[in-house]
Amino acid sequence: MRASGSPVDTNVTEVESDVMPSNASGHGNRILRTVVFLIKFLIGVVFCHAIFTSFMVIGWTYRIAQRTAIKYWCKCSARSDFARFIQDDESTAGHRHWPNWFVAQNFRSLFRRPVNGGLGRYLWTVFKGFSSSLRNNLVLGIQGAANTLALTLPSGMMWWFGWDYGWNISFYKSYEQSFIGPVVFLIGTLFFIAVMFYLPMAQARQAVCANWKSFWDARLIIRLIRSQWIRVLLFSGLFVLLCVPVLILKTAPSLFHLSESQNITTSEQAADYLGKYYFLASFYVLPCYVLIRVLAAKIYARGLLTSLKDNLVSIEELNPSEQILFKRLELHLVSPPLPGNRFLKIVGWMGSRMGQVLSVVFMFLVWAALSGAILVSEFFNYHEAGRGWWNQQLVQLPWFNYMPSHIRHAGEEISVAIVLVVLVIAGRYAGNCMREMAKGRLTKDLLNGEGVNRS
Amino acid sequence: MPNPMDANRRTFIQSTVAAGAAGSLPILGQEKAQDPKADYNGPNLIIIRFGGGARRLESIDRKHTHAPFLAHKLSSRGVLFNSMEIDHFDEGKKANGKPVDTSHGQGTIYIMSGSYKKLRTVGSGALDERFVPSVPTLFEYFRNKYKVDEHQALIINSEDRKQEEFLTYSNHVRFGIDDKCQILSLYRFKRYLFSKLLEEGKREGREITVKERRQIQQQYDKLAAIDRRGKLTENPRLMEFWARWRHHYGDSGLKNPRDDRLLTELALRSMRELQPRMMMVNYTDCDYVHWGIRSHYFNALGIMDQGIRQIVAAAKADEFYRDNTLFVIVPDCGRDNDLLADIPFQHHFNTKSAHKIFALFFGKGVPAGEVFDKECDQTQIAGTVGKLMGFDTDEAESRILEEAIA
Repeated sequence: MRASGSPVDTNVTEVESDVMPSNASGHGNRILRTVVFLIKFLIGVVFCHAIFTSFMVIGWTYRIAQRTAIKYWCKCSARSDFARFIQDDESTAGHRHWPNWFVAQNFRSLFRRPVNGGLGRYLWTVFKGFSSSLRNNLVLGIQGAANTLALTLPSGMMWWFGWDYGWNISFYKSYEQSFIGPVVFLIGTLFFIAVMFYLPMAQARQAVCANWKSFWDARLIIRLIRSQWIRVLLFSGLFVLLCVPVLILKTAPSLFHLSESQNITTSEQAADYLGKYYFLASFYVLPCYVLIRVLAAKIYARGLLTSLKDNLVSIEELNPSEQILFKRLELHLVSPPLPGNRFLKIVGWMGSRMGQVLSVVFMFLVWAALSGAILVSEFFNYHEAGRGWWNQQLVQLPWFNYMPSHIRHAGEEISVAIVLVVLVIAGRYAGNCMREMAKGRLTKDLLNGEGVNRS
Repeated sequence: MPNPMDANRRTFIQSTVAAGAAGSLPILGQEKAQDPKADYNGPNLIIIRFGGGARRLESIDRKHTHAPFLAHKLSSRGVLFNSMEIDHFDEGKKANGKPVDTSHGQGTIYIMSGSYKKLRTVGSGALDERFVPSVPTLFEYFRNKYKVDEHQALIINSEDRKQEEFLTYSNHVRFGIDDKCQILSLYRFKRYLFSKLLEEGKREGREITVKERRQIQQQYDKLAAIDRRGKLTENPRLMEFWARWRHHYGDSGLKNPRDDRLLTELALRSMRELQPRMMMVNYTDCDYVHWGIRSHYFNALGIMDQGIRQIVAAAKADEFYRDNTLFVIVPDCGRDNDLLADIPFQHHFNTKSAHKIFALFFGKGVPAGEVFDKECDQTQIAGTVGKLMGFDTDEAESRILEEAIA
């Protein structure tokens, strides 16, 4: 199963639909589920430590977001039993539990050998199943990061350049060009604010559709944002509030954890101390990262339903995977009552046009506040290679590891991550080509066989 | 046209309030006995503040230095105290009840006064603390004893640290404004220039417009407003100095050397034109590393090093200074060595590393080629200088650096 080729990628093994247990509650008790959840969470925390593994966190979170949206739509439909609904189709069956990190969803089914399958095919299925989630998380994550960075890197780079150039001007007293640093920084900030109006819903759409192209459906996404303006506004406020502790955690090592007060005298000790620090800090970063994507997915799911109901969006405009889901849930036929908060309904009722204008102003201020907080954090604790500018954990990569350059040069990790990403993309491309070739050969064989029979 | 140099009501009130608030008693200082002062025939003094904040590692460590002239050449010409510290004797902590600050204005006063006694402030902002020495500075001791004109006791200051423009005298009861030194800096030049522009009504041969006049007046008032301790006295020799500077570099401020090179240029010109007997050059650009670009620190060290080389060469070439000048090179403070930070060079956290500095004495009256590992204190410099130049520093740290005296 391809990561983004399938309408709704659930990462279920091919054999799984045949062997899906009839009694779902037999999967395990609450304790087991809790233990599994904690293990998954812990793996996520560890994966926040490196750039490359943080792509997997993105992919994993996108799959959670997809599950959230489907669950929401299910709840809004006549078929409100989520567990029963997802079992009805192979494409959604994997959403019974939170996504895995490495093995396929419901991986125990891998060990049940199909009656008509050969040993080789069975072993190949088991082999693929053991890396299925890993591959999906990675591919979805790289696609997610690529889209997000395509939109946010310009502002991050402008911040970085504006700051460094501005202080270079100041150091060398090159007053003739003194405007360049602040102007570039300001443009970067305005660009960042504009992007942040769009980005969370675009990420949610990409996550739900499991298709990188859907990130760029700007017209649809903007209509959804406008239809959910009050929720998007509250969400933006929460987003920034969650970002503030991350910025404090990022800044803290140079303000409150001086190596001298910690009796750290060597780079090895510093690496050890910071490794533990960033690991513990990721216990905050990861839940926030997931929470933001889940909330965004809910707002997106609601927005899509609302827009359909209000004829702002037609069913044909949706992603094929969404169309299939909506048809299965019969959401395209009826106008279901949407779950909502009375307060939000009242607020929404109060002059939406005026509200939209005000929300734009407030959102501008909210994202400007985040830009200001980023500036302050870098003012207190500057990070080399622009890491503090172009990556905000809750916006871009959940990579939370600011090892000083005397321990490991940031450029080294960035280069390694880029090489690995290229290898993954190349590997995936090669795999797809081979699959196509094999399919072509099979078709040819079949056609040849038919020819022989006819003759 | 009003003369901007005249004290207006605001500056008068400001100076009166500031003087009162700081417990300043310059009036008493002015009333002290008018003993005839002796002519000074001792060595000249040039103190280089190796600032703002420099660690031993990048300064005097021969392997890692970014100041090769200092580490490889100069250090062998005199006495290097490579284990000097700020508040090594814990005197500051005892006197003030808290650790001393490791920063620039403070460090400058520790060097100049030889004391960690609590510093008073004259107006302040979070990033603009204005200190007043509570004990006399070297300049005051010197001018109090010897007949040395104001223009021969100079501090060369950076325009980035306007709060250090006013460290010219203490509020000590026996010393004060009569014994003050003078400052050369772009701040001082701008005050001179703006008053001249308003007086002449012309800028670079062109009549200034009403709008320009208003802007110049505003700029002048802004500069004058931060001078809270009293009216700037017009020193004729300095006015001549600035007139020549203006003639050479024009009015734009864009033709003269920039960054810490400006301080070197001011020092060299003043040596030629004013012949200061006591001069302190307050380099400061290392402090740019606060904003995160580590090369600023290394570059600033190199620029200082080149500046020192030029000043030493100028002293050697000038008969007035040749073989009759005492040099002291000392940082205002060290910098952190925080292994947990990308940029480990801050200095506001009172770390041990920020206390660790060095001092190099060389020139007249100082033995050559000696290096001492003994732990000593930044405040010992003032007393040692006093001893070498022949004046008492009775309010300064009394334990002097005997090893620096031949």
